[in-house]
Amino acid sequence: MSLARVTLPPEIRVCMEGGVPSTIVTCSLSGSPNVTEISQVYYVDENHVALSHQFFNKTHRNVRENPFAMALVRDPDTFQEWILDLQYDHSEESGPVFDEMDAKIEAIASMSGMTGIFKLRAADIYRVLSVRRSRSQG
Amino acid sequence: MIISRARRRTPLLTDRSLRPLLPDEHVRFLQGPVISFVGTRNRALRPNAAWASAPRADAGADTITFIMPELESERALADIADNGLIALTVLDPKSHETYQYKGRHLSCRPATADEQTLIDIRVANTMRRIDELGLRGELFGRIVFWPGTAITFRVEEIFEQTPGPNAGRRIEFGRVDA
Repeated sequence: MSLARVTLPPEIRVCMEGGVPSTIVTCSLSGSPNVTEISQVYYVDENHVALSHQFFNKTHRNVRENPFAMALVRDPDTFQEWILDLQYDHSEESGPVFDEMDAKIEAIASMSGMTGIFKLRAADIYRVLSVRRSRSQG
Repeated sequence: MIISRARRRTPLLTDRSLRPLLPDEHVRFLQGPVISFVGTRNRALRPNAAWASAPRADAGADTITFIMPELESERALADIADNGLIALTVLDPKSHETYQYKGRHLSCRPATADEQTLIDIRVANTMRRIDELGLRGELFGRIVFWPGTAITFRVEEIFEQTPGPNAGRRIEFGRVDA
């Protein structure tokens, strides 16, 4: 694996504002894939993103056994999709990243009529291994 | 790419009369205005996600067939050829009802013209469902689902993923005694 830093393109940031859900897939150490929809992939910096740890403990558990994940994020205006290969780095249960994610998740919950159901347990920070535009729109 | 060699694990239940059946409510749910994704992994345990469309289950059986679009399916098809493991997450964009079906690949083949029609109908239904939310269903219609590969897998586990306290709960199958 290359250790070269992968930089997120500026145009991907709109996909990380919670406008449309994202897809995340992980794999347990025993080899079982797990795919789920999440409300938000959060832009941390040009080399890192954060995923919200809410209900789906399987994702949280899997990346602690096997740190690799893939995320599909989408532009809310065009539905252009981006594919990110990720590697789990660490988890934060407080601090500015956590606080900002918590506020955004509550706002998304409010917009979708699910206030009080979403609860942020931790901000899981991932290093971006690769990023590219999906060809899903042809 | 057609996977000619179906990898089958030794059935957990050798007595055909005790084969697990998908619950009727799941058979109906899968045929509704849903969005679906397939998760796979390669030999190095690197996960991969791809779109899926038109999932359907046979009543009285324990298999699901879905269509994976040709675009962006190369990794998923290679993973399935390697180890046969499939996780299919299906969700209703309006109610947020979500389930994940995990199992093993049985067969892959090019999707048929009839299935192309089925995809068109199902995508249109999902676009209307998204419109009901006041969102732009036409964005979902921009995904190119055709041509595709029809993939059938045997469901071994079902997990609830609807946001809320039951998320992650394993759903037990009913079993039919002959």
